[in-house]
Amino acid sequence: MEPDRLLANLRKGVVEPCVLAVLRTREMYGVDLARELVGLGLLASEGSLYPLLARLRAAGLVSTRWEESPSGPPRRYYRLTPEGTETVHRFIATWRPFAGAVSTILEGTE
Amino acid sequence: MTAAPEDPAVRRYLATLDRLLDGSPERALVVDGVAQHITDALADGPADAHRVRTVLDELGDPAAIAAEAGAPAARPAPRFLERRSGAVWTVLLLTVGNVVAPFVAWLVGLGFLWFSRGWTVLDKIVATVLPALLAAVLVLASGLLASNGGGFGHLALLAGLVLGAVASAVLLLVRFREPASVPPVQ
Repeated sequence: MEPDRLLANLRKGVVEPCVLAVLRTREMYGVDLARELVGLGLLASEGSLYPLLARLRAAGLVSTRWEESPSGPPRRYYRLTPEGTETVHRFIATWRPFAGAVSTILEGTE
Repeated sequence: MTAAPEDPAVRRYLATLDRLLDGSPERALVVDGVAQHITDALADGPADAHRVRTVLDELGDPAAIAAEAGAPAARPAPRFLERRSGAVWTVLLLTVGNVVAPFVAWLVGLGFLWFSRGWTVLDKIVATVLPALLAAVLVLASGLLASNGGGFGHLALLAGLVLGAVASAVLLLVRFREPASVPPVQ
């Protein structure tokens, strides 16, 4: 499999929980959230954040609110709902043993 | 809905995205979110052509956003005959339908069968000729028995057709595969 395709497939399963995990400590507006996820290599482009946010909002995991901005028009902030927080906790509980298992296997084959 | 800057490049970008998301349940939320992103990204400075281009470049290709949203344009749903429900209808027409509306239902069922991409050509041939083949075998066997004093002519014909139809139905249900969809645009 080509490296790009492999990375895209790996991102698919984890990017939504990662969006929730970034919002766990603080609410953010779209531009900052998109730049952080692209910077971490979890999103291929900033625009692909918005379908994810639309799904997370529809699922009731993320909510939005408007806040006046000192430098321009009001901004829409995204934050976790209680269900979103619970989803992050479930993801962490599932991810740690899973990632550990993958690392163990990879170390064994080096 | 947030008013994005009245820049022709921004309007073109949002119009393209909106068109590509046609049919997606998330269309309004995605277009609104992206429009808001552009407004916010351009808020703390002049919205000159160079900055607009940078913001749109960082957002990425609208087709990639639409693919992420799973827009039907990028991933068409299978046609009726290619879905499992279509396969079940085909089998019902070839079996039960043939009892309710003899011959007509069978012909329609054959049409469904041969137009569907859910089966291989070999599956289609076997399912089409199996009832007639079994009936012929049983009638022939009955004829051999008749020459020895036994025989069950009409019954053999009926039994062959019914057994053949049932065997075809089982074969079609087991062998049906939904054809692979066109992969989404990356």
